[in-house]
Amino acid sequence: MFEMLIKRSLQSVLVIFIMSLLAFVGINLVGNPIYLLVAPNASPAEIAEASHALGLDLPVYAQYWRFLVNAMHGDLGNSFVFNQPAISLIFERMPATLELASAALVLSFLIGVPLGMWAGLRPGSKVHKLAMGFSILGVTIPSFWLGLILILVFAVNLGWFPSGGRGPTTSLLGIQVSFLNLDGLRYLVLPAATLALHNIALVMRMTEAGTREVALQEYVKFARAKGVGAVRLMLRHVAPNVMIPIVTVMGLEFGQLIAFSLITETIFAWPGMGKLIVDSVLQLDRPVVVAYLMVVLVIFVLINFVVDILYLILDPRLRAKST
Amino acid sequence: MALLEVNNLVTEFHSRAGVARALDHVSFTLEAGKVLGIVGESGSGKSVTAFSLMNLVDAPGRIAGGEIRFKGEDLQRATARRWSKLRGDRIAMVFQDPMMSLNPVMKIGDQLRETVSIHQRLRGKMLDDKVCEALRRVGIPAPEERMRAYPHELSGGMRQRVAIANAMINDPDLIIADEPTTALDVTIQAQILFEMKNLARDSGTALIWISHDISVVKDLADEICVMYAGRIIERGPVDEIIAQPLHPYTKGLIDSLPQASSRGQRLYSIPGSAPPLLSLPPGCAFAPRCSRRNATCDTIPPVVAVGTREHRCFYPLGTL
Amino acid sequence: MSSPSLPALASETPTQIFLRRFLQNRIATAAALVLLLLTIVALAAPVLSPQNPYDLARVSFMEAEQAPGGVSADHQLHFWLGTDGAGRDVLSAIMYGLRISLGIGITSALTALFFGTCVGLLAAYLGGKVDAVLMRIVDVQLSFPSVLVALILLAALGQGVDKTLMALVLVQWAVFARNVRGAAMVERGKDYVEAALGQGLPAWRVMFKHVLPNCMAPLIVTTTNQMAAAITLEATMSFLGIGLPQTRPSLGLLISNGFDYMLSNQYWISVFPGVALVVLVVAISLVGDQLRVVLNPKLDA
Repeated sequence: MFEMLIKRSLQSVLVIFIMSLLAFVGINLVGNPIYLLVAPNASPAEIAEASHALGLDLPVYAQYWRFLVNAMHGDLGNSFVFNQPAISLIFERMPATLELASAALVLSFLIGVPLGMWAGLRPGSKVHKLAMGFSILGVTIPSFWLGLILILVFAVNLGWFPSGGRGPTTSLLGIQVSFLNLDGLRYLVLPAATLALHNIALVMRMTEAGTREVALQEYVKFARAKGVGAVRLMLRHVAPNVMIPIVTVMGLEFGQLIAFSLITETIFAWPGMGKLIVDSVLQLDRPVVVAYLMVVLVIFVLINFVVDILYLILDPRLRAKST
Repeated sequence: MALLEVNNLVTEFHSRAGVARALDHVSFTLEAGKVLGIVGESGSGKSVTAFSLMNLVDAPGRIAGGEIRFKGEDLQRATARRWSKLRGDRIAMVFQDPMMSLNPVMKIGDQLRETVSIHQRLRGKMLDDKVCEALRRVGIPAPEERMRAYPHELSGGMRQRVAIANAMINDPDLIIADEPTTALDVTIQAQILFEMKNLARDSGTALIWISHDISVVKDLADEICVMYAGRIIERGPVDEIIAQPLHPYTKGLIDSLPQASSRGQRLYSIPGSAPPLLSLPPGCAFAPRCSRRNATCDTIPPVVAVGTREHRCFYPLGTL
Repeated sequence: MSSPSLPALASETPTQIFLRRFLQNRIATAAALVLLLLTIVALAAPVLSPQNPYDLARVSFMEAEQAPGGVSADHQLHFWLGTDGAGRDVLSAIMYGLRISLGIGITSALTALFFGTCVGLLAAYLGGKVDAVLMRIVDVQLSFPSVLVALILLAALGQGVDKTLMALVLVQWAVFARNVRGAAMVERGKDYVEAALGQGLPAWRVMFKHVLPNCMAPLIVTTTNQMAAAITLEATMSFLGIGLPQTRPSLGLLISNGFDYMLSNQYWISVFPGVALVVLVVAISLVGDQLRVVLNPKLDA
């Protein structure tokens, strides 16, 4: 099992390396940002000087080398717009994004799993049709439109929730989180619901399919044959077998959530990494874009890695195969 | 009073293409401590009988008629709760394929513990001891360690022994075994057969053994039922039936067994094949394949009693 | 091959069989009709719409921000869905927006289909290392959220209809490549391919004229789904402010423009284009789902 882990680790490192190259090269196609940062009437000399100071006059490969070397030291350049290290900008905003993504993930489980299981146990019933219909909508409706509607109904008209921003935060293990106080929670509800929609639908579909399949399995009948009651059957026999693939898919979905949060953060003015990158792209703030890509990349690779391990732990059959 | 009385049991499966009668007025009785064999080919309704007796027939199937009496109790009236109490405790079942029937992500010790703990208040060391004892009884060595294993870590024969232990652990009155040795190697088959016979006899448990192989059943059972297309076409003490079968199909089954004496000769098989349940012939289901058929065979033969035996045939062997 | 209760009649053509099986699902049929309607509206927008919202001579600030049901100053025009901040009729804007959204969705999906198919067929035909490398690239691209990839691409390429199309194609080709390669791989192993190659037919001809037609069924479904995905993605990008220029607003841009007005409860500027978008995307998805069921002989929904 260990050699598999090591092999995966090496592959992950390789992927990070290649992607960093691609990301860097790709971003270099963005227009020359120097024109944003100097006064409109700057002289060619001043422009040249500014270019030199920012290292923008070096050939692409030299810039990349500098980038790599700095990256090893944890320095991914300064933001053109904020004049702060790009990486620190990202880390400042990461807790907000992680909080949003985690809330969305929790919501998808809380709503998606029970509904999916219920539908899976009653194929052909009204419940099933309703649930499946809802899940189709959940997958196809663009999330930004849902956000809009939620704001319109719950914020503008009903006034239950605020229409944007993040609530007051408290400190948890040194990180600022907003879900620990009621007010902060109010600000979290709508954005989390918007982000979670697609996921809820996905979890519901997977759970329904999984439950339907598991319910037909011999071992469920076997459990019933030895007298196991309905509730225990659900919790102890059906659920664990259904959850294994779901948990691992959800792990991967977490990465997607972090990425998709950029839409939600823009709509709700949630101060996370996503909003930062959208703004940075519009303002051609290259170092921040690159730093964001690298961070997201590492997160993705880490998640894939963790999910692999999780799968090994959860399914005893795989443990046997890999030894 | 017989342990189990089944009267005119009817089980149907509804589909877009029609209604299939998997069990058509099936009747038999079983006394305590005896062994009943149910023999038939695939599709004859033998597995459905097992599931019907346990009330585990799932949609689109349902029990459509008839009566099942267990120790005098009318099981058709039993509630879901009563069934949960009965199953695993008074009536237990052994499935055909233990790889599919044991839960793959639960240790076998946990699965056996569960079987006990849902029916009795037993815990901790006493529970573990009972589980170990059950495993020992079915011939599993070092049960204390084996308990921590997962099903996929055991061989086929061991898994089936675990399933048998699971059925026996609460000392049920009746065990229904649905082709328990079909998925195993021939050598293991013989072993398990032998052991089950002894176990049942030693504990006084009644046994229903379902198989497609009459040779397996003939050494084990006191009485056998032969099923064809959902009906019992012959029933009676096993020795009498083997020696002198009354129904042509039964004879066909016996004749198709390889014998040491017919070595080198062509193996006999009944010509034709069993009809699909959705398009049964109007009368006797076996008629299309029967060499003795006649016009009367276009009506369903009723059950005829001959001494200790019963059959459904207008022209049983030994007449005409 | 057909469902047990409706065996195919010997006299039916494949098209008739297809139509009959498709129409079995009432929801999908309704969706198909809606889609047809929307397409007609989109195509005929200049003719059908009450006002050309991009003709500056016709638009007046005096009529700005009117609620649905309002009328123009000269009482000639009814603003069934209200007007936006510049006095443009929302209904007309939606019609023109549909044109852009649908147009971009279809064009990008079809272009991605073309490129993806070429790559997929190439990978299937050559096999071995080429296939492994190509598919690895596809896998890596697909493991990244499309939103992110589109964002970066659009950031790099800039604004404009053509750049948006390019970005959408670059995001989508991978899905097609993988699907085509999968189906083509299966076909590749079959005898008729070997026979055709053995006869000396050039490889490209074999792949395109012999193998590809046999992969059509899943490809049609993928194309439909990708159209919906492209439309949604473009709308999302436009909403974020990247992609299409203001002069040719798609539904996404209309929604974005109306966002601020929503906070003062002038919902119609954002919500109606949003409804149009959702209806369009859902209709395409439902049709795609039914196509998947109908075209797959093994699936008996």
